Amino acid sequence: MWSVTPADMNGNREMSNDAAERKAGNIGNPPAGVSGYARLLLSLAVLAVIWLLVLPALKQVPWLGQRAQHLEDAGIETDAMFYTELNWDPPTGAHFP
Amino acid sequence: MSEVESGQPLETAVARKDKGLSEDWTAVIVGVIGLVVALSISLWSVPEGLNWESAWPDTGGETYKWDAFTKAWLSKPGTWDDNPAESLLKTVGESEDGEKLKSWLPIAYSGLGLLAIGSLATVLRRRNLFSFLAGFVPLFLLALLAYILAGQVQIKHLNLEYALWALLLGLIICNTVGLPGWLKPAVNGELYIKIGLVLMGAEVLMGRLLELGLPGIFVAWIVTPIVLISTYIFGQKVLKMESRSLNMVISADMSVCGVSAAIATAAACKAKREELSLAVGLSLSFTVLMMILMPPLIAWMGLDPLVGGAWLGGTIDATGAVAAAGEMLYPNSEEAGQVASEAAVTIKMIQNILIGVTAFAVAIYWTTVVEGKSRSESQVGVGEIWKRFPKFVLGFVLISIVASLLASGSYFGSQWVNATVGGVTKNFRGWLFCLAFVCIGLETNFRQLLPYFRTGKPAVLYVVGQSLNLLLTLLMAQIMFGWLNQFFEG
Repeated sequence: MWSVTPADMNGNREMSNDAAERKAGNIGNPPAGVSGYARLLLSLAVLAVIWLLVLPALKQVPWLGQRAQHLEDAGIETDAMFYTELNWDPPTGAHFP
Repeated sequence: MSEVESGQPLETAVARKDKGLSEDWTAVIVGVIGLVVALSISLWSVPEGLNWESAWPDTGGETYKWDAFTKAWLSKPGTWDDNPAESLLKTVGESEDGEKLKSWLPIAYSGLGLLAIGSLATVLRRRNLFSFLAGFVPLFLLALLAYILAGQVQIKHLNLEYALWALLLGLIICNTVGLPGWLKPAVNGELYIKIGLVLMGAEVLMGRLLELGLPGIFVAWIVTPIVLISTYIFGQKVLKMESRSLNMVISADMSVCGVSAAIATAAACKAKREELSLAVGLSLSFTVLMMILMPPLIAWMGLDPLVGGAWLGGTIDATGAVAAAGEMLYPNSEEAGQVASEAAVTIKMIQNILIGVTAFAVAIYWTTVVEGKSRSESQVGVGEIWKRFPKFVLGFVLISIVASLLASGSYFGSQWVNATVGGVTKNFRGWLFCLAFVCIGLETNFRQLLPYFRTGKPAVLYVVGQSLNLLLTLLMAQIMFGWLNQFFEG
């Protein structure tokens, strides 16, 4: 992706590694036809079972269910990647009066 | 990919010599245009009575709530429990004629905005716009699915962020049917990350670094760089990590703030996509453990709420996980819980803002020291360094400086930046990162990840670095917020 190579030194570093990998056959190199699609369907089926059956059932586990409910009620954005995604008003910020 | 494969002679972009702009400059231009548009959009919704002369609330001025009108019209899928459709059909507002606004509509608008961003980038790079448009729609749907998976309530509250599921979906497709040719023109994870980072500059407000005064500076500013540098040196000298960039990305995500730091550092040191994937996976796995184990540990140790909160904020990688752990810290005392939670989130906010400094410092170190070693010293001049320097970092820092000056100069400016970030840029930055992780997954063969798992060194690096982080942060938090607290308050 961003790996440095001699060719990159000309300012076009971004695609360099991709090019090598395409050449090496590592990108966009699907497994043979039907078996590839069968594996895709199987993977999607596993995801569906986990997300539609297993995870919803986890709320029956007392500490997990209560914890999720508590955080939900408190409006905590547990999945926030950056402070601006929190339901939290940061202090106004240091300023120069 | 094996080390041998990654070192093969390259058939690079240079060979086909694009006439369009480079990826870095495209990211800077698109990001700057995006910020100017976002600032203009926010101005339409300025609250009555608020102007450049308005005083700060802490100097007797009135408090205003400024939301850009786009805030309700741009979003990501919401949380759901047992029916994923809830995430698209939640009522998120009401139109002027009383019609209920369902969440799928703001998501669709976000998609259109992303399409505009991607199209502008494609035109600037002189690539085929129609091929891009054909590939973008399915790519956006994959990102949407990743967000929906991350929105399941149990997943959300375990801090298993969308990045993980976006990667997983991409990996599944790449390793079963392969990356379809018609999707390739839209698959450009690096570009999405760089545009997202440039936009993120508006969220990196330097004034907030001073939020907790001297104690905050010691806990967040002193410990964080010490841990980052020590972990990196440990990785190079003791573990003898094969990849410097992987070492740097893990050191940064563990010591600064998880996934967002990993993204910024990976872009700054030009890490490989599988290295970023691995660092994100490690960070999220340990975050789950620390988020669950640290609150009872702090309670058992009987730490002061301020010290406990600062310890949490300085050590748990992910921002949301810090907020959740802070909330769970003192369940039986609202006051102590509030103090701990505020301290934790504020320390983490300061670390979030350190991303700007970290990315810039890593980019400088990489271009002058690491890449300098690969050539004879005589060849490393200013021109050479400029050529190698990741230019998008300049856009990121430039936007951060402009937003910081705007936010620090006046109350109006501060609210303007908040409205712009909250109503426009934050949403697109999140979607761009999500698209980027789908792309990274779509271009990553499982075989590329295997060599990293065989040695076990990345996990050892993370554990050793995090142990040092836990010890130093606890010590500093105890000194600054415990023993010396009265001195600072006085």
